[in-house]
Amino acid sequence: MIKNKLINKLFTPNKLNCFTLFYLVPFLFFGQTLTGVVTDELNQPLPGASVLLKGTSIGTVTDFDGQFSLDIPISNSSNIIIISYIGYVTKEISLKNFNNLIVALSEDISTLDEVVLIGYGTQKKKDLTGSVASVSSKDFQKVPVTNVEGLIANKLPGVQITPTSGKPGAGSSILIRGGSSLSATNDPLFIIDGVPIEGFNGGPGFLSQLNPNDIESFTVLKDASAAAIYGSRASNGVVIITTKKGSQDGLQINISSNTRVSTIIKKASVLTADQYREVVNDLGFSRTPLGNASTDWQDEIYQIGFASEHNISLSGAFKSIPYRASVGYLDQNGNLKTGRYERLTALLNLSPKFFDNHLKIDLNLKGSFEDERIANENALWTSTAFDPTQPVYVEDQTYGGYFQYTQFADNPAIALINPISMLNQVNRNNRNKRSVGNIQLDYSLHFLPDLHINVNAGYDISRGEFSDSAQANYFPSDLSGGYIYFADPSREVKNLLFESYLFYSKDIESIKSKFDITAGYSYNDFLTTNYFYPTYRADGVKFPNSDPVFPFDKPSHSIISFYGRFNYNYDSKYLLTASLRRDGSSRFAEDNRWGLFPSVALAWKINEENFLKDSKTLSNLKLRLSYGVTGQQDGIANYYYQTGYNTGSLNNQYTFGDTSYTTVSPQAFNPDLKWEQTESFNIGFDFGFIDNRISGSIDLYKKDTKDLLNLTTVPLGVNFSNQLLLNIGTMENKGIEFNLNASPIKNDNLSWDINFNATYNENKITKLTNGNDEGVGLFSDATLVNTVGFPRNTFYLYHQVYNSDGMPIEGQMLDVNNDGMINADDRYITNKSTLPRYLFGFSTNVQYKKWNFNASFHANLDHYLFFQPYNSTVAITDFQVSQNLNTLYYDTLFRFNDDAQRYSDFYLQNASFLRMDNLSIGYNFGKTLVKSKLGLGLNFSIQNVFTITNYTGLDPEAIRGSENGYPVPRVYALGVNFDF
Amino acid sequence: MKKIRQNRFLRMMFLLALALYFNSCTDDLEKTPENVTTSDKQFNSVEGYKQGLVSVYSNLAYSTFLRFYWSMQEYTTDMAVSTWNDGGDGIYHELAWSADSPAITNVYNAAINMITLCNNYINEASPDKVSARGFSGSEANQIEQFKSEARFLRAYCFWILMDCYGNPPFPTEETLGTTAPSQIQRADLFDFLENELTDIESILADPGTNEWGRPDKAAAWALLARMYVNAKVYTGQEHYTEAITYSNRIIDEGYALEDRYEWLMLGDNNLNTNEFIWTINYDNTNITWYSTNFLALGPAGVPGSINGMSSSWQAFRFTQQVPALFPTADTSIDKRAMFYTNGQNLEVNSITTSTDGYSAYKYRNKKRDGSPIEQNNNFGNISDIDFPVFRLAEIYLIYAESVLRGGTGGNLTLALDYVNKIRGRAYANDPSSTLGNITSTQLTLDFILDERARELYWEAHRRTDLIRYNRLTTGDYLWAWKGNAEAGRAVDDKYNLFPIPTSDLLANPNLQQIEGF
Repeated sequence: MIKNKLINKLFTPNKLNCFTLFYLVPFLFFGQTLTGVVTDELNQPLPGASVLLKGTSIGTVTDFDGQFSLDIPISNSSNIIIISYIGYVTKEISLKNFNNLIVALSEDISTLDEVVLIGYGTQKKKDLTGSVASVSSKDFQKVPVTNVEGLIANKLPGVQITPTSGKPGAGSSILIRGGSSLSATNDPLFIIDGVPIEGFNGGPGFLSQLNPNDIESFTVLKDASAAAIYGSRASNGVVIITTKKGSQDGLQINISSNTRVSTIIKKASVLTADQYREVVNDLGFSRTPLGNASTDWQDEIYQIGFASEHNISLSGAFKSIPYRASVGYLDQNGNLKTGRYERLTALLNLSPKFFDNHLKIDLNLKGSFEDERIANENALWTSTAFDPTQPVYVEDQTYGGYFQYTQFADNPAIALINPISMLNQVNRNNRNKRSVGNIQLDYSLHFLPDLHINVNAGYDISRGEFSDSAQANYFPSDLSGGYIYFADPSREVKNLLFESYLFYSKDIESIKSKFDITAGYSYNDFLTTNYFYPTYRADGVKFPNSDPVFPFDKPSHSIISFYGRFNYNYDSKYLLTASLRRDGSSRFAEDNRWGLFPSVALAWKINEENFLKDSKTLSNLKLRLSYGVTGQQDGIANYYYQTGYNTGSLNNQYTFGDTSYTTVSPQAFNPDLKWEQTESFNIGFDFGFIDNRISGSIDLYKKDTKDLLNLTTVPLGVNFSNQLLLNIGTMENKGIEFNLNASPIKNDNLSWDINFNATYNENKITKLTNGNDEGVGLFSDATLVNTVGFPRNTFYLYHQVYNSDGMPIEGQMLDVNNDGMINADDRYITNKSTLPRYLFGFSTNVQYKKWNFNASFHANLDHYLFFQPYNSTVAITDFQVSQNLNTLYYDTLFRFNDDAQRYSDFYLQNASFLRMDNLSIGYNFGKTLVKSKLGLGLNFSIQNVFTITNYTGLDPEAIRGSENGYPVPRVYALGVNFDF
Repeated sequence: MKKIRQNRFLRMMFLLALALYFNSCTDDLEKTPENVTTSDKQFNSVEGYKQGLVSVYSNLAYSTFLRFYWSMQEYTTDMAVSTWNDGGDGIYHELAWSADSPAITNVYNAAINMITLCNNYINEASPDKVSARGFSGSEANQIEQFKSEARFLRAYCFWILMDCYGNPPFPTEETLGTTAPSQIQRADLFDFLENELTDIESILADPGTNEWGRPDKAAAWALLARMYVNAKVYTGQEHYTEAITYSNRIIDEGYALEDRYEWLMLGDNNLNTNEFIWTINYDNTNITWYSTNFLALGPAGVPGSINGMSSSWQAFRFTQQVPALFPTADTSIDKRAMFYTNGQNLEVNSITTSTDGYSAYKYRNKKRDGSPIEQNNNFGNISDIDFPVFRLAEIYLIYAESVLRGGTGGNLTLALDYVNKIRGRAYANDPSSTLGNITSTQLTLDFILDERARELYWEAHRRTDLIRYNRLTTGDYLWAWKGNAEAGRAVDDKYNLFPIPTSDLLANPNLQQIEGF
């Protein structure tokens, strides 16, 4: 009672300023309870700080108010407690001198003692030998984001995070060091609370199904030494995500809520109705008659999007079992009308310890429910092409009151469909339930505490439901009376994981050596069941022959791995890590099935040497060297090495005589398919000056990917497709990464942090084993070639010829070899690819008293896109339905849609850009409300603030410059946060 | 108590860990797809082999082959102009394609794809595999016949490539799955096809005895006859005698013209067993957009009430040169002149104006009695019209032309007789009628070309015919908008061929572009 009163007193607003004073509680040495408060330098309570009686495992963690209470057993002989918190300098306090405790921890700017996850274990940041980047919750972007990736945007060097789409709930693609694959995935491996997650599993991807508020930390393993323990799965790096855990005692409640408004930034630049009329009048005719309206179809399909998100989390301990539970709800309307995404997430974590902390159990359960109305994205392109002189609505209600090209009523397939009717009359819904969970047991043996046995069993299951229907009066499906497709379930996923490893560590002080060994086994099985159903007319009559040949399909694959790692630390100066992993994948034939992935790394903590040890300026200097091999088999088909026959559908039979037969067709295959392997070298320096007020790292790397998997245009007649997945050769990525963190100002009222990172990455094909090594090389598509000596997917184009006014002359390409013909021999390798060479990220954070300002930018340089919208009047005169033109028409005045024009370098554009991703301002009232029990924070932010670029298309960062994708909007967000 | 619990737990964990370390879970790495059949399973019965053969043939109907082959053969000539520039096919009538033109890739890809599937089938039906799978006797013979039918389809596709592209790649059952095909010269391909077709002749079913849609001996003879009449174009050598030989074989098998020309291209034209030698089959329960749909719906202007489906796609019309080949532009005299003139102008003043140029209602998805065919699909717009690749009337005309060109083994009297049968049907719905008869002096090579136009229009023959008469690119025959000039003009003779598409030229290092491209 007395204690509570004192706490109340201390937390009343008028007392906050003198909170630096000690708060003392009577303390009895034997069999007593020690209580106290842990704060930071600014006297803010530090929740989750660890309080440990030295030399024992008796300890606790502070609650949300920074308070702790610790029962000291009578038998205890220690009199020192250790108070530690990640990112702060650990303090040891002798209990003889202090009976009652208020402990202010000072921030450890170096954060070198921070423990980071490295895969099958943890390591102190200062003992790392590999290139590992890590961001914890305190460094996350301080703005409301829909997706987990948004938390770390621009925070990590060499990590490109690109929103894939502006669709509600859509995620981002993450690319680490330029990506090492062509056709195999360039997604890194994601491990969430110890469970490797296969990317897209119903809905917009798993990261989208996580609630950003639940995330504790992001760790990115970038070089092979760090990642090789994940062997075959680590070529594109590994992203380890952990969720927040419960704290030892005291119920803490956090409620946060935000509202977001999103708007489309840029519309495709197409002719207005008046411009269009003028062009048509100049031409003399239009394929379909002009209307009298002036419709901006893009304005018609877009709306302002609103989203609201609410989260509540509880954490504490139930009968000494720490728990954290949270529930989140998101409701987001898309910018494309009718699109809506709702997500309900729930998470539970239990982390009890047993047998004097010898057994640690970590139980994680995550669940999500998604309900999505998918707006018909065909409307995106159609809105840029639809005749702007036509109205949206007409009197006639035959087709629901929408303007349609009714002259094509007999064959609407050749008409262009009113984009508003596409949105309103087609209804697509996706519902997905997913649960991911695991239990991890870590047992340190009683008779040999240095030996741990770790067992991790996890699952990832989901069940999807999909429906798609169109009204009977929807113009394109009017002839067939609309349609209904309903799939419940549409898909079921059952992925299972079992892992187990032994971990032994020993500190042999006599020879100044520490070492540890990990050896383990991992089994992953991935099984998806896709279900198929017939289609019905809107009135419920089944369409003839729409029954599926097979009611379901069960694509499946598995990976089995054995791995080991050895860490050696001599005198805390010289560090060695070696690892070996052997992986077997069901995606390869028996002879090519197993891959061996070794790595070795060395680090030298130069600042620990005597000649630098006492330096006041240099606080950290470490040299890291690493070499490793990683593999790749993700992103390729499950059974590609096998020959086999697919069965055609019931309405694709063929008749001999009077009998119709379902057809079987051999599928494309490659029996020689094997692991893509990436060999990486990395040299890095970590440095820190002036107590690490300035810190950073430089890494030089080189990655050679051999047996590169690429979907390649193969000569016709060799296989059952003209595009075949082959191991085509070797590709090199080399580059340099620079990361700098600085805190120019740091005092009680004002702190200013800056992070800058830059990456230069050079990508080039070094060898082609399949096909022509010396000539042009292998084609990924008609304009993109893989040629030795040039970056992957380099543009291969004609030189456009221009007239004296600088206008391109239609169809006129430079006859490079002067043979009087324009053909493939006249094309040239542009040495320009979609892959940027330079990546920059910059973010800054200013904390002034209770105010917080944050801004972040990123830039990609030397990055090219092919931008060819409709810019010839053929779109008006020669298509079945006249279509609108891009205003690029005024720069070309093209009329003929010449064949060679589609390979002209006129359309190749430098798409370098600088984007301001984020601008935010926040105010934290602190725990000042309701008798100081309630904390309140407010923030306002703008995402996607502006983009500076010469690129004339919609978005220089859209996946391969896609003009028809869902544009990524600008988002204004207002958030509020309550703490109890 | 606590200690025991601890130990028990420890032991359990140890066992679990050990079990998984040493259990040979690696068998889990053998995975097979759920709905995919292995070749051994697919071909473990004669029925399986048959299904395999049907599947290879189904590509004639489901690939883009027919529609784009038709476009290549007709749009390049006086027979058709394209309203929509569908897939870039406007380039055909201009006679101005390049290796980059997307339109020229369709047939090339589709034909080589079918050849690839045939090669695969030929491998699966090799004697070794057939006996290893336990077939012998009549079963093995049946499979051998299937294989010869696959070889026939392969020969037909190679003929298409030889005719259109000159020196195409030459994928065989040996190169399948291993190396890039080599390039074969046109004359060498001719030899190959000659050997191949004579080789399978004895294995193929006797004429008229096979199921509808499957080739028989007559189909192989018809392809040989067509090759031989064009041999000079392909090899520089004349083979008119052989053309007569193989035409005779077919004619001697008792084929006969159907009574009415208007029955030829109907939804129930599978009744035309007297005249049709080999067909690509369609029926409307099976959905493909690349079918004879295009031939029924494509002609400009023709309403649904006539074509038996829906209103026209307004896709193609004749140049005015074609109606001029007929006595009148209606069926009053020559019943083949099924021109649709309602709302259509005779003259093509603009290629992209769908009302410029007559069209025709030769293809109709109706029965002989005029009743419509019920649509059994969700599009309501799918054709049942089978496409006759070879029919007797063509063979009669090959015979006559070969005789006129100096081939031996035939005679002018028979030639005139055959032509007059065609004309009897054309003028009187009766092949034996003399109403349309011509005299032997009228029977000239020019007459044959014009008669082919009247009889075989829109059946994908015209480009080949004009090349044989050296009139496709030259100034000897001009039609509206030939070479993109309103009155027509001569163009470079390289346009007698299509180039190898850039995509394959770059992918296959064994290929060399043909002259002029």
